[in-house]
Amino acid sequence: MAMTINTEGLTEVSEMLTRLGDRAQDVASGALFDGAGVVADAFTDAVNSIRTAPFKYARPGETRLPSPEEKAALLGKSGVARFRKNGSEVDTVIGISGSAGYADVAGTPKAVRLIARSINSGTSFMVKQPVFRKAKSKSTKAAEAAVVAKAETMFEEIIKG
Amino acid sequence: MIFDELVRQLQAIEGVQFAEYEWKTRPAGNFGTVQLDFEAEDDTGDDVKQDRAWEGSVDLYTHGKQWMIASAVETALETVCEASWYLNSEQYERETGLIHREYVFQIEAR
Repeated sequence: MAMTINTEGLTEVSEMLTRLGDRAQDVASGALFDGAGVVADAFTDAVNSIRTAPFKYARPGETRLPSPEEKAALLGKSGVARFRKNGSEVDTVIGISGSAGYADVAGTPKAVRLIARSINSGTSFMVKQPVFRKAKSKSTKAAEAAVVAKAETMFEEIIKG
Repeated sequence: MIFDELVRQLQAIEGVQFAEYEWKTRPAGNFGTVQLDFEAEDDTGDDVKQDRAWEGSVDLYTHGKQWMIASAVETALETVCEASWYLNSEQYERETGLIHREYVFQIEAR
């Protein structure tokens, strides 16, 4: 699962990048790296906060917590995707991906993003724990601050030569 | 409290049963839950919290698409939360055959 964070409101950084010309993409990448790291760390904390209980099939009409194995499958699977140039912008995706390392009852390899989505949104038989939505909400401002701080530092370094 | 008004409006919808937070035992028909998830925003002034907003969610589980029920849920959200809500996901549960819609909303904490 991946989430989008819009930083279009960072007008000062945007103006700064325009003035930098050819060096803009370096600054954008460096700043994005720091901002993405803040969100990725929040996602890791979110995984650690998931409540679990030993697996048992939920009896009809009841819900269950995720199993320790499902939580373990998510650990180490959150991260930042390779940065991609998109015109004058630099894009990345922060989220959870990969295989859980085991198959579901139908024999299909289980994707960790499916587990993450089941925990975050809940299902009719899985207790809802919106830890990833909360992580995104709580880390966005800190991520934007990290982007601005890094961009300003790099900008000053370039100006000083 | 604004949240209580949302609960009241959801529980008045025909063809579906709503509970706050969770069902001890799920109903056999269409059902849903509504809950506050976390504090989304707050403004601090004079060393006290001035304005606070809660983020919460409505989960609707239906047998089949049930557009009328979904529409009524959205009307309740529109009435209580105005524009501060969105449909976060709609997914089919292969194990149960239910359709799960998750709405996310923000309301003032008052």
